[in-house]
Amino acid sequence: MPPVLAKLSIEHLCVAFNDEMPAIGDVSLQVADGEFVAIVGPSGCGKSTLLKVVAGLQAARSGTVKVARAAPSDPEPKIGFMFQRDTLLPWATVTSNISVGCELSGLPKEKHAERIASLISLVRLQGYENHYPAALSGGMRQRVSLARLLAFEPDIYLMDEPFGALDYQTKIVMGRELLRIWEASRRSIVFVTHDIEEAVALADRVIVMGARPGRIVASHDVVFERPRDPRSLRGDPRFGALVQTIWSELAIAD
Amino acid sequence: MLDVITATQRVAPSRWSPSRLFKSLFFHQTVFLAVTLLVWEVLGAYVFDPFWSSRPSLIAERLVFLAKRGDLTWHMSATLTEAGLGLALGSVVGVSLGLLMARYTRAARITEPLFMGLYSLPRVALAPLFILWFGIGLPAKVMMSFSMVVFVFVLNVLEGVRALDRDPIDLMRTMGASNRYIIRRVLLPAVLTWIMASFRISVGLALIGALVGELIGSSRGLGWYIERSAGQLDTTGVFTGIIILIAIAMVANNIVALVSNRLTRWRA
Repeated sequence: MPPVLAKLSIEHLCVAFNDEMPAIGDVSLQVADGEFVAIVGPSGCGKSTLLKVVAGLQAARSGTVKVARAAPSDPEPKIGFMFQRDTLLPWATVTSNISVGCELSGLPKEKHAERIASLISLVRLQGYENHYPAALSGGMRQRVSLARLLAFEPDIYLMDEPFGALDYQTKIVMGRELLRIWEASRRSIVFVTHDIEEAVALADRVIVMGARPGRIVASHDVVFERPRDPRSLRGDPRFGALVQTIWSELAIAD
Repeated sequence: MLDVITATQRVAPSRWSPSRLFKSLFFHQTVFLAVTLLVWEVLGAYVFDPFWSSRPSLIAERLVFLAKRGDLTWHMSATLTEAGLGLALGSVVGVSLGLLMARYTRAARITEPLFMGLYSLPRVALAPLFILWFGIGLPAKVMMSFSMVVFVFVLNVLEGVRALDRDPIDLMRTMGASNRYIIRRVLLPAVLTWIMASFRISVGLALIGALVGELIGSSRGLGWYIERSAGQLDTTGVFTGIIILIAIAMVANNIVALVSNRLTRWRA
């Protein structure tokens, strides 16, 4: 049997901002094609930095990062990044913001309208096509961000606390929405969060990171069957046990 | 008799009351203006010598007289052309210079003292020089107007580029966006709001530039008309010129505000 192809492969990555203690010291991580990996850790453990290195926004001191291309003919792997802030263009309507993803994906122009329309219904923003971001709630703005990301059709999704700025209820709803959308396409996701419950509810695997220097402390396979409902999952005793375990690991790591 | 206002009655009218409010505000403004003019008229006729303060009726008479003789359009068109060309030139040069200075920060730092010196200089001091260089015709006034507004555009565009939100740009970079794409999608729309703000400030400044040029040396224009009237101790002529200028400035400001609001509708 051939080995499972890694979508993202990080080998002995080390990142340092100056000559101080490295922000990330020797991290290796493989993400399989279609795998949903969540990374939790205390602030300052380098989990966001790790994503920035993969996205090419931050240089590494040593080590390698490889993202597999979808097809051998593609010139570059397409990396989709989502920030905690919505980073929408305030002067562009919902439609126009989503079209940024289409435009940068290389999709032929005549197919843009169709993809945008289907994404707007996918993230349930029908009726808001011509609204500007300022007229939308935080949750709706992140839906637009998500639709823009989906329009780009990345090989891998890097999500840096995408729902971290939302209120608790909206965060749960957005997590469920993300799973619903992810089930349909099954692209690899690396999802950084400080919310352990969110990580366990969403991911196939939870990576626990520790600080000074940033390193991987533990890795847990989450075995709950798919498709999941993150809300009902929270009542499951296995869910609580795993959350407890990760909590104690974080306490040790700190 | 006592009116009993029920809850529904109190809520219902709110649907049309904003327009009613506007109407009543407009009504009050009109009344205020009429009273002001009336007081002026009475004071000018019975209290002060009209030589000092003129009177609304005399000004209205003069306006009609100037309009009939074609002097009104003759002078107005001169001033409007000067200010308009100065504003157009100042905006084009100012925006380009601002973008260049934002792009080449080193060159911008080197030239900054000279630039800030010129910016601090009361531009009126340049008027005699411009008359010397360009004569008393149109070019001197355009340059005067230009010198008043160009810095507003440069500084606003610079500030606009500096205040750019880095996150959307980083995000687009990870998605492989070219420089051209980022300029078109992020830089220009972001700077546009600052350019519109510059226009709102510059309309009045452009008129000042044209007026100063005309006051110092010219053969036509509202500034020239005011200056000549004053020279002949013709207070009514001076006030007529001022009233026309007020009207021009108000209309121009409203046009710019209207365009600006349309272009920045996204600001909820």
